[in-house]
Amino acid sequence: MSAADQGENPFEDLERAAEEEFRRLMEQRVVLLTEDMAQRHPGLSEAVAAGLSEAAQVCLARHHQPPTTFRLEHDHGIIEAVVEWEFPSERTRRAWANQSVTTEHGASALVLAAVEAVFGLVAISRAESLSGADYLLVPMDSDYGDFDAAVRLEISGVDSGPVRRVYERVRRKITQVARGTGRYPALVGVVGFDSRRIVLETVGVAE
Amino acid sequence: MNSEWLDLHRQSERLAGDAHLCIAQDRGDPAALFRQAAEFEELALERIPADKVRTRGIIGVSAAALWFKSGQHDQAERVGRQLLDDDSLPGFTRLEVQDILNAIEQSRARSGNAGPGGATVYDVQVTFSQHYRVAAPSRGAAEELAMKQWARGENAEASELVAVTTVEADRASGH
Repeated sequence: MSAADQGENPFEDLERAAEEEFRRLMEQRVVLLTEDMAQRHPGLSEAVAAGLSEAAQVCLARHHQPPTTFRLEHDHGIIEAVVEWEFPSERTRRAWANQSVTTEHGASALVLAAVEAVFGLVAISRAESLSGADYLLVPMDSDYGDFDAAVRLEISGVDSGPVRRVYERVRRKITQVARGTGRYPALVGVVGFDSRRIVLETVGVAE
Repeated sequence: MNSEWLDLHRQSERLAGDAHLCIAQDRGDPAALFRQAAEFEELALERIPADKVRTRGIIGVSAAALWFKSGQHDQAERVGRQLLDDDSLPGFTRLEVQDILNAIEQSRARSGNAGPGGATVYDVQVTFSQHYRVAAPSRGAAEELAMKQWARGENAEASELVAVTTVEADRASGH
């Protein structure tokens, strides 16, 4: 006699598996914290952290309503990343009128929040370069004065356009970083604001 | 732990961060902030222990880049040459320093686009047919100066152009 004949649910195992998979996927959801970043990232001054957060609000407000869910892709999988934010004031939007620079700063806020949430890494310093500034990352609660052991993070942002633009930017940044990182580890983080993508890629090349 | 260099670097970092915010929000005097940041970064560089090879490379490149962004290209070149002379520094440092030296050469080739006191020379288009070449510490200041010249009826000086363009603006749009 079958399970159905005995009054049991024949799909019980399937439903349980689906429920577990759903729970697992839900556990893969992270919240990206773009407020008070200076308290968690020693390499961000209060002014810079506040500026990055404002820039992220301006970038998000161009395309979305709060909260906004991003697809966050990294070396080990894909997760949902929720960004809680508030609409920027008119004054804030006017202050951040330069679109390309605002996109760069806004992307920094989201990528730093993402590496913190996914890898437990925090910024201990900005590293000035010819084309801008990268960040140096170490695990939370490690030696914040040891730059020799840090992971270099290169960030870029794409305001709008098809999602392939995000991946093109990731490829370009990987090439750029691989040339300059030597035997030291590095990360590339690219945000697509309109396409709601955040891509984190590790880069490691022997010098 | 020798933290003197780190304290100096933190001061440089704060000033450089403020300079980037000034550029982003088109206010203040980013060139002056970059210059102060470069001075602190060089002091930090001198105090990093010799065995911290990568740290010395990172801070050295940072010092050269900050001098470059302040418009003090001679200082940027001086720091860059010192770094290239140091055989102990890692390869990535040399590549980044070479990029900075190339940028200095290109900048000089573009008709000596550094103004007095670290100011940058800007080309500002005020009307469709009127554009002005002015030296100023920031884009906002350059526009203001050009508008005053236009209001006074002074002749435009630039022979060709354009829109408002600067080294920093090129950097941002090329990101």
